[in-house]
Amino acid sequence: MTGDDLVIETEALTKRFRRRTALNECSLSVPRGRIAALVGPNGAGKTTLLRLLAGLSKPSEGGISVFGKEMSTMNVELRARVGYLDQDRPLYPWWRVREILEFGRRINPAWDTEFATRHLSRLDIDLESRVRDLSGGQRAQVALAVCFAKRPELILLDEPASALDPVARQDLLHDITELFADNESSVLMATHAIDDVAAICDYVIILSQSRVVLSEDLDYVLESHRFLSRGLDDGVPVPRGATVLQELRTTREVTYLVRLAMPLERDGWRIERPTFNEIAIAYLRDQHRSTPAKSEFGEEAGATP
Amino acid sequence: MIWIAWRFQRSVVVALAFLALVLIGVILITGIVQHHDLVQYMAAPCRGHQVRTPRRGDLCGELAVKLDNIHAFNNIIRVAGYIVAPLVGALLGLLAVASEVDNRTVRLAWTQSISRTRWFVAKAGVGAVLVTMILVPTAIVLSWWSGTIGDRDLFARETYGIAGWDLVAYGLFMFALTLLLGAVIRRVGWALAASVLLFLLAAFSLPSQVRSHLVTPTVKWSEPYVVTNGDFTGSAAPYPYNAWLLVQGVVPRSITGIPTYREVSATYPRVGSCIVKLPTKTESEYVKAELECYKKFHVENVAVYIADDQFWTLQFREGLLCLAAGVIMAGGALLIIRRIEP
Repeated sequence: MTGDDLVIETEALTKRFRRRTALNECSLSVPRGRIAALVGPNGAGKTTLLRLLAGLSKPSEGGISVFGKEMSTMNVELRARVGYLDQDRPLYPWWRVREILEFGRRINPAWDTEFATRHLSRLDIDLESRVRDLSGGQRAQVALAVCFAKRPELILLDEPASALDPVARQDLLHDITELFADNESSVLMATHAIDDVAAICDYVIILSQSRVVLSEDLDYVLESHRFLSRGLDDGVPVPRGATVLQELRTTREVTYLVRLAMPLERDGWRIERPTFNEIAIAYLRDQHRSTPAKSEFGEEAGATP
Repeated sequence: MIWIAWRFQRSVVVALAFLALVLIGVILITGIVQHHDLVQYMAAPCRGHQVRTPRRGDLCGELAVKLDNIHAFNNIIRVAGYIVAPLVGALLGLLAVASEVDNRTVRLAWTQSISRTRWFVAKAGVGAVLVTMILVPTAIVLSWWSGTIGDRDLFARETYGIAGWDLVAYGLFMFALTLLLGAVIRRVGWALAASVLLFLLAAFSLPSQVRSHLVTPTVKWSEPYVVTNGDFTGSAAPYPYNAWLLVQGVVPRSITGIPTYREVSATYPRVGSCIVKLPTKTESEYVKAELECYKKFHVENVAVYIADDQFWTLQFREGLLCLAAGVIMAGGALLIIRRIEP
């Protein structure tokens, strides 16, 4: 994949806050025109990564490029092409919604007032209301409208659905896909809601303990992971090229969630497709145990558990 | 961006403008009334004579008591005059930077299609214009009031700051100080506390440490006594009425440059100990002894002062100094803002 095809590229990106390392040597790339999910537990570094990408902070080490250009806190030209929705939904509480939209219009050359008003009208949010009088969900929608109406080529969303009710959340996911279809924008969305990932995303980045543990196409992720089950006493070794991520034991059976590096031969295993939810949780659990998946049964493929 | 900066500060500006208007109204009314009373009191038949307990129907006595009683009220206006400039500057300065960083609304502004420099310049520029717009009429009215109620000593601590245009400069200085501390501290409450502390420090050290050096003072020398037909008349070094007296005392005539208070303090004990060793029972003996000692140590009386015709020069230079400091502080705030990670 060439640099032109990548909308985001980071190289050994590290961010430290005094003694705490929020991101540690993160190298990842997101292809252009994708809806990418950034998944990880609390404190994994998702928000830090998004703020670095949005030009709000500077890396301690490593490089970060957006649309092939180095992103920095001073790069206005690049920021004009990036929309960012912060986790805290910062809006001016005393302003009216109409004034917030006016704010966006005055400082963004590609501002789409019609989109913003249509979006908020559809949600019955009165433009004359003051922001402080809106509910948490409505505030999130106003912040989203500001982010989308800028008509950015890259949209960075930090927990976009966290304050939304189920209907609003469904609508938001619909809006993202619609916007994506209309604009051919790229989206990077940090989320805890793994179900949302499977619903709308086609690229996945899993962050855990300040490191990138997975960064791939969702289809490839689904294709390259399998559940392998056998009886406890069968003694069949894990197939060559498979890395065990998770082991589940019952009194009769053992099941492994494995990542495959080559086509699988059955060899006495019962094979099932995992959902993305199951794969993601396996990666996150594995990192929580702080034991690298590969070392659990050794690097050697075919090692008997 | 100007609209955004204005919209952000609008409510506070309206409240501060209202406060300034109330102050201006009170100053105008009391100034006119006091001026009328003062003119009447100084003219015939009163001619400014002092009366402790006026009799019934004694117009002059009543006027004297009325003017005397209003002093406390005038002091309140002076205090309000001194507070209004830093108050306006601090509130608008905090609103421009500290409030936005503290509430993290900068994350909204700094991820739009504008640079942080443009954001800051617009906010600081609009804020500075608003501070000026509120304080210029207030300063004009306060200056008029100070003159009209008979504040003659323009260099007095309670008068200097409200009798000229420096009120505006103080407001802009405080505005820039809160911009800088807002960017450094990033918390509204702490930034305000630190700004008030530093402003007070500057306000108290400015007159003694800086103001007196902003213009070249006048130095007047004089002999200790004038001898006329064998008679002695004491004479301190003369200085004009309403001048700001910086140093007065006895120093060697050989001193080059402007005599300082330290030199006066060092000289007088030597002259004094010389005098007490000589006979000083009668006034004539004392004068002789003093003349002898002055001659022995080659000293003369000296007065170092800034005349009141230097008042506006001093105001202009001090104002420029405050504005220059303000520009430097705003520049510092901008440098910090470019590095902030909200």
